[in-house]
Amino acid sequence: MDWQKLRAAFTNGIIQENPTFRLVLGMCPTLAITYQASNGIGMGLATTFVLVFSNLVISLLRKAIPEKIRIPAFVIIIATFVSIVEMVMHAYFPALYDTLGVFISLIVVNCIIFARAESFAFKNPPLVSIMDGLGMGIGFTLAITLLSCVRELLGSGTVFGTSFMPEWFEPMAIAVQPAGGFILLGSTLAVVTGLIARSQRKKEAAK
Amino acid sequence: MRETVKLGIRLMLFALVAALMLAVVNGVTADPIAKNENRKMNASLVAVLGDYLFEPLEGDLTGYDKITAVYAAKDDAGATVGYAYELSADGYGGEIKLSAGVRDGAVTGVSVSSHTETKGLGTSAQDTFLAAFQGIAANPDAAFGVDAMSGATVSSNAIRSAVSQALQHANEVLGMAGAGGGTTPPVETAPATEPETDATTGATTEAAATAETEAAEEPAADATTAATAATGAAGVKEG
Repeated sequence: MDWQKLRAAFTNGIIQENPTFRLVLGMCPTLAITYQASNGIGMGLATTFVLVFSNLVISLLRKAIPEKIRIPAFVIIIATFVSIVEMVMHAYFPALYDTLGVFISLIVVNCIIFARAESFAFKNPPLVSIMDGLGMGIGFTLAITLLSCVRELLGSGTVFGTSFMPEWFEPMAIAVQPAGGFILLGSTLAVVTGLIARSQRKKEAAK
Repeated sequence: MRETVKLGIRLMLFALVAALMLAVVNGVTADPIAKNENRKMNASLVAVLGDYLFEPLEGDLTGYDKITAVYAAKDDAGATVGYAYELSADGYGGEIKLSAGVRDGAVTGVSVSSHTETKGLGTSAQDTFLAAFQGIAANPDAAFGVDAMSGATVSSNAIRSAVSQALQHANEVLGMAGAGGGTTPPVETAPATEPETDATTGATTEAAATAETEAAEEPAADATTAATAATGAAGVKEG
């Protein structure tokens, strides 16, 4: 296994195939919990943990899982890791558990995890699969943390609970509500897509 | 048909391994989760006594009409460090729900969880009034030594008598002797006393009752004594 391939699998999820900004997967938790920056990090890390371990286990078992029952097998594996995350978070991070609530259990049906299991881990050896899970997870974490910083800044005037706005700033309540989530997700998506397109054009021009 | 059975068995194996893993994690996390839930449920008790586990105490509450529930506060080692009360007082505008904590022969805090008293009247003085309970000696008379909120005498009296009843219960039923009373040092009886062993502490309680008048005059000094003694005891325990 050469480093090139591992690095490619890792960086793939962060930029080229960023689950939120490029693949537009996992929109449900993204819209629901990104009203607070700490939620973004918490949800991102929980998802990353599940992604890495479900990718690893599915990759290890890819020859033991018959094609016909792969979907229920994936569900069992993913649900197991989600339950572990949920119990650990409930036990050691009660505040985060309370704010994320039902969305921790709903990581089970996060399409990013399923997509990576089906399209990557089931066909690739364990090490690359771990890197893929890690990259996708970090990409997801970065994306939703960015989005939740924007929403928290506009909606409450703070980022990670610290005030960043001048006195006269009146928080826009809509930014922390679901409707504002859609609007800001769209806007952030446009900005990020624009930036990536520009950097690609530059690269091509340099060639 | 045979293939279906084969696939079924394989899937069952996966599920079995998953269940085993979950059982292990559950075994590790069940205890902290229970503690967290307990703390969340008893947030008002945590506010008056501190971050402990609260276990409801079963017992006869006849004669204590203002006490709705009594809890023993346990530290992580499971030792009882104090008692918390949920109280209900008849205020000016209806029921006042409050909680109070008692530890080492002194009141650790009083907080109001819900009330229907006149808004504005007295509510501004509420924080100062409630804070004044902190540190007073845990004997029923001391509760009345706290100055009432001006303009809200009925509310003040309601809270004072509810707290007083809690302290009476702490002294008489739980055997938590008022600080500085009797022949037995208070710390030895207070945190270590189990509700079941009341018979042995009866004498102490009586002794404490005689000492009450003195204690009421010098509540601050008594609280300090208790605190110092408690620190000493804790040191011994650790050693």
